[in-house]
Amino acid sequence: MKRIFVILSFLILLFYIWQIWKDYNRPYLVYQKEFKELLKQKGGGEAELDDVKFVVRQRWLEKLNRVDRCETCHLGVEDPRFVDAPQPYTTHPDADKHSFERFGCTVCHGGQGLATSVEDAHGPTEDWYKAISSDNFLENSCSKCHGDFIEQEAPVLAKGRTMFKEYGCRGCHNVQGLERVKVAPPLVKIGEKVKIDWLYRWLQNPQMYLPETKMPNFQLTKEEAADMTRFLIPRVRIKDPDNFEGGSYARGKRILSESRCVTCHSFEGKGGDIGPDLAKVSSKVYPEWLFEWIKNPQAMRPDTLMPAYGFSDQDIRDLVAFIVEEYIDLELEDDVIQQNIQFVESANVGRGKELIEKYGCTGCHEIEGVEDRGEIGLDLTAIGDSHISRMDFGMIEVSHEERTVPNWLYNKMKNPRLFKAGLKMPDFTFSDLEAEALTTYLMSRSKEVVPASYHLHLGERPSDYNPQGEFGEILDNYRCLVCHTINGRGGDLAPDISIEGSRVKEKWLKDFMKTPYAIRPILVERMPRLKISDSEVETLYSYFRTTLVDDRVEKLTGSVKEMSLKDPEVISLGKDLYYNKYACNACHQVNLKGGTIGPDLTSVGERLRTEWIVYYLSDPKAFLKRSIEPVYDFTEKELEALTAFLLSAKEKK
Amino acid sequence: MIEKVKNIVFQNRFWKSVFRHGMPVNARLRSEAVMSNLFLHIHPVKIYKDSLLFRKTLGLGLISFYLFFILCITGILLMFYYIPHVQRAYQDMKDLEFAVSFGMILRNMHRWGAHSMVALVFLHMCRVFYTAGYRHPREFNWGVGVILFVCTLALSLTGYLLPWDQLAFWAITIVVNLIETMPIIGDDLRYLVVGGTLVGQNALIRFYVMHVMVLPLLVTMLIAVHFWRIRKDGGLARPE
Amino acid sequence: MSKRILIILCSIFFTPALIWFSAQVVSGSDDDHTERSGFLLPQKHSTNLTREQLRGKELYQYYCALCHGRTGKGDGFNSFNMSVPPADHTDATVMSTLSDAQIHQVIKEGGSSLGRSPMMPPWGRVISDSEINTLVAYIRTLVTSGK
Repeated sequence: MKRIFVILSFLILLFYIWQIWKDYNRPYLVYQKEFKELLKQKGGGEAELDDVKFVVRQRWLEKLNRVDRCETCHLGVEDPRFVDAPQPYTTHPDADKHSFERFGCTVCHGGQGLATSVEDAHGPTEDWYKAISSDNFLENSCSKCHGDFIEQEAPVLAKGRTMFKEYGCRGCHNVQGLERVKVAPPLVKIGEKVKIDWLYRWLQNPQMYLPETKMPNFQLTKEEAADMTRFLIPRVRIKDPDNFEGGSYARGKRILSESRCVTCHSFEGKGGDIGPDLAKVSSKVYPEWLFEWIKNPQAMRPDTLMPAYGFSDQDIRDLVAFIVEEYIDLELEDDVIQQNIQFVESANVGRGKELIEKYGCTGCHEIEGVEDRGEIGLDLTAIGDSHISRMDFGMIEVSHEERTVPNWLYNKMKNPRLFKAGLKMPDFTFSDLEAEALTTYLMSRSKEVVPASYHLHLGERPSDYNPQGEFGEILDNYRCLVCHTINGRGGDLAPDISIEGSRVKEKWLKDFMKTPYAIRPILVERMPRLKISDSEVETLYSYFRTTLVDDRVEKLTGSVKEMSLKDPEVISLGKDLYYNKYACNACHQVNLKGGTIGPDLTSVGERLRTEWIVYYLSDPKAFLKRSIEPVYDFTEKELEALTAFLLSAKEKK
Repeated sequence: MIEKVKNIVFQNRFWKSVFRHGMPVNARLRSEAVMSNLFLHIHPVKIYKDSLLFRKTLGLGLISFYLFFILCITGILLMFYYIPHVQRAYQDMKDLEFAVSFGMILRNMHRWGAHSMVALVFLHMCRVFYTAGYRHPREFNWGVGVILFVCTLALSLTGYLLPWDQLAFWAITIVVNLIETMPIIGDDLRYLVVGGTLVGQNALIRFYVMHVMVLPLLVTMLIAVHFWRIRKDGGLARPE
Repeated sequence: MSKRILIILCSIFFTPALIWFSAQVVSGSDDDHTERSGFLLPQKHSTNLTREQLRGKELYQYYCALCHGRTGKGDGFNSFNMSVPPADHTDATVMSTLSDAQIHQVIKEGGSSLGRSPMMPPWGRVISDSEINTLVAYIRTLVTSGK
């Protein structure tokens, strides 16, 4: 009995000694000693070396309600001498914009700020599931202070946001503050548009027909696809597809290339990415539908990006004839089509409806006869906050360090049915980068609130510029804003025309609309020939001239009048400046001589207003911020001479 | 010289007022020493020899008492660091883990001490039950013991919420939902315990006050009664 | 008696240890057989450029690559239209004769400031000094890659 007592006492003594040693020998001491050595090598002074004390260093960020002890080991973050030092001593690259005093570390990087050991601080550990953000998803924190529209500074996050919208994620998942829009075409009267066997093949694997489509692969069985097809097209078509009154193949071909359909549509991978690839389109749609569609796409689908060309009926008939003849799926065999149609005809309509309800097709499509029951998926409003225990990894063995919410989301994006058989989410066939962007965006959906004094919204919210009346109607009809931008709204394929009225001359605009050409010599001609009437162009120009102008340009009218732009001496001085002093011909062409970066300057005086030329030469970046024009500091005289020379640079015949 | 020091130390009024007798050199003085000492007079004057054997009692009662003592000491030290506020409580746990000297051993002693106290009090009850220690004349002391056991469980439960982590939060949520199922008073009792409808700041401060103030005081008083009754009921583990 | 207590103590301490140990052994052998079955980790976008050089690369591709080429060989699509060919940034013999300050000056004030062709325009009013520094840092990395 006594012996046991003695042994136990001794054991307890050892235990206490061990505890004291453990308490003294904290894990961060190793790093602090190493840092001191490193500082000595970098030439730290005596006082500086004494300043490295072996203690826990913390920042208390009262407003963010955080305590960050990261700098206990990351000792060099503020010291520019440690730029090329190894971690954990490396200088933080962004110290000037986000001061440590104000932001600390964990508000952006995540991890456990209170911890002082590597495993605990970086995580995930058993009692701190929020691990430090990997570089791939780091941008998710930016939105806490900077909002969601950070194109420049957080491109991955912005891409994720755009993707979330474009892929129609909102159709099945609720996110507060985002409007639920049906992004896909309505399936009303789908039977008059597409062929039944195409729909059957499409449902089985959309990417097979159109690799870049946003329609996901639902991994349906043949029977399921047939059932759904049967429900969507209950009656096999009455009209015979062959009795469409065709037009001239050759003329259709010419119209297709003249209208520059290739700007938006691709043909076997070559062309624009705004519209779908048309290489196999005649195996998909009926010619009658195609005729009606080209005649007035906006009547069939108000939110389409396709402009309503001013074609005559004969033009369209020729065009359809060419498309039907040319763009067919050569690998498709007739008896396979017949087999498919027979298989679909024997399918079960009721089960098709059930499947459509089950997979939530109504989230993206409007479907006749199926009630939209709202979002069928998980609410993602605060998915970034969710606890790791809510993420179901199924039967997959994932080690503790890899068990994080972003990793789960990433895998869900890459392979939605990975964790369990029978899940409903379809496969969007995202690439690695796309999955990362979406994961980053999802991780940024958080209810964490930072104080208002930290808010600094970056980037521009999408503009709600929406002109009405006659001008608005023309703009809408020809879908100008798909490519051009006005006052912050529109696409970036073509130039911003927000101050077009100050820039171009009316006569040039009229000619350009009749036969559009590329202003920059090296660009592919992209502006479609929309067949806009002269009176419409006049309306456009009068709107441009009154509304889309810039006062900085307009105020130059007086001083332009005083310039002697016709004086041959001035012109020859300008020529000298153009070719010798400033070497403008490095980038610009006059009469096919010179560089091909900037616009061709031959006859530029007919295209641009003189005020604009003067204004643009004096400050090219004032309006076109993304222009790669170098900025020179021209004197008044040089401005006059260059303008005079440019106005004289006419086409030599 | 030694005699002189001895005289100064032992032969004065202060010493004599604390220890009312001399060195326990004979049987009489020894029994007097036991009887006049608060900590030793747990046993009655006369006692059966074999009821003092370790294998009869296994010392479970005293170990429980020692654990309670350790819990009080470590608990007071922990109170220096702990702030019962929903935004601070878990941070304080992390402070104890990463920044406070001996914080981890302190917290672990309190935690494991509490777990083992629940186990040992239960084992103590079993021991009393199997040696029939609850029979006449010790029915009252058994009753006091049962209340002490309930108090121990209550201490354990109230302490469980204080770290304010997920485990604590959901454990207490479950417990208060159990309370709600009580007939008639269930709803009101739950409201009283939680101080609202959800486990939140009100519940935390209520549990904290119960844990560091009300229950320890109650347990201390009951332990005094419990020990006093051991002596008055005629010693340990020996039914009539 | 003390023997009996010893046995009890031993069993109390060793039984959990034994259970823990055997559990370790069992789970260890489990790990070898289960596959990851498709669980992917995001790949690191590896680059051997520093952050500064990366920013420089961005600017280089935007402003310079049109003439100097995407890899700096002086073979951008516009280089063929010029009477004076753009500098080859991968050429170690030429680049080693230029100091950082000289490259900085050429970018900032144009080719004419050093008596070279004015076809190289001045970028000082478009690109800030600190951004030009990142450009210089990036241009220096091109030399090694051209060797």
